[in-house]
Amino acid sequence: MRYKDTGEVHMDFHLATNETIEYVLTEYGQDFLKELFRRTAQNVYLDIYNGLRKGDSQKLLEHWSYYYTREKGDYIITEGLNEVCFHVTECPVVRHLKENKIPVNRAFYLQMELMNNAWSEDTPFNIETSVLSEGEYTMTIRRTPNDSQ
Amino acid sequence: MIPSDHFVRMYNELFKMLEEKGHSHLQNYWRRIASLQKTILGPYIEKDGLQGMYDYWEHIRIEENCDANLEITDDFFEFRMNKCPSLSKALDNDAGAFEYYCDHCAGWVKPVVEEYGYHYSSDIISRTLPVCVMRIYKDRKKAEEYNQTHTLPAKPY
Repeated sequence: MRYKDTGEVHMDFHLATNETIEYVLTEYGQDFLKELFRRTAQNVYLDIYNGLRKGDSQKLLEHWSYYYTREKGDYIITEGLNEVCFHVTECPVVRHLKENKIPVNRAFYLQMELMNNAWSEDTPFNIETSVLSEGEYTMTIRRTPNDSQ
Repeated sequence: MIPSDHFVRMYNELFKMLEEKGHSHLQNYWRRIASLQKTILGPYIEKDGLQGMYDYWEHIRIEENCDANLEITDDFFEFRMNKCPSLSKALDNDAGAFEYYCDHCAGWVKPVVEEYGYHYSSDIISRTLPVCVMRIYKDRKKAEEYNQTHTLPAKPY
């Protein structure tokens, strides 16, 4: 993994992320937010993005597994013929915001959708984000039909 | 989700985008986060003044895995960063660090302590080495005197 943090976790950073998303949406709109997450997905997580472009989704799955585990989230991974589903049954961010009595930002799930869309851009994958309930969602990495890899 | 460990690298990108729009955009964002910071740091200061700051940043030292020394005197609270995890992450980053990355720290903290009547003074020392010193003084004159000793004073606004 290109980034693999260890040691203590400062969960309050999620409060700042929540505030930041609200600020960016209000002040600059959704296109600006989209560009922010495009840069994050493709430039910061360059290693993951390069893997996806080459048809390898393993680095993204490893990243999700490591950090949802590190933040004590719960998830189930199921693999199908042409897809892998990362089903988050308890999101650590939503849990932390609720523990601090802070409303989950209106764009919290949009953030994940924008990240996943940016990760799948110009790759042989589509990453579908589906919200099932507060703090529960799926992110399904699916090979696009015209991809022969 | 953006892992809490990676908020640093995400906002490093936001800093670049806001700076592209003009420095005042970046400063406005820092002020917004300072308002959030006040809700977290503020109660510590209200309760115990400099000792409250010490308690807050001791908690930060542990949770953010900082290599840092904290000191409290009759005049000031000092947080001496020997290895800043935040700048370290911004530098260890495939997207590259924002040139004025370090300034955000003062941008988020200075307005909060000033609201409580304290005086902020910080020496960034270097933009490429993860070391710095922050002092928060009771007395303005002493803070200004300390400012004169800095290699690279933080001037967020």
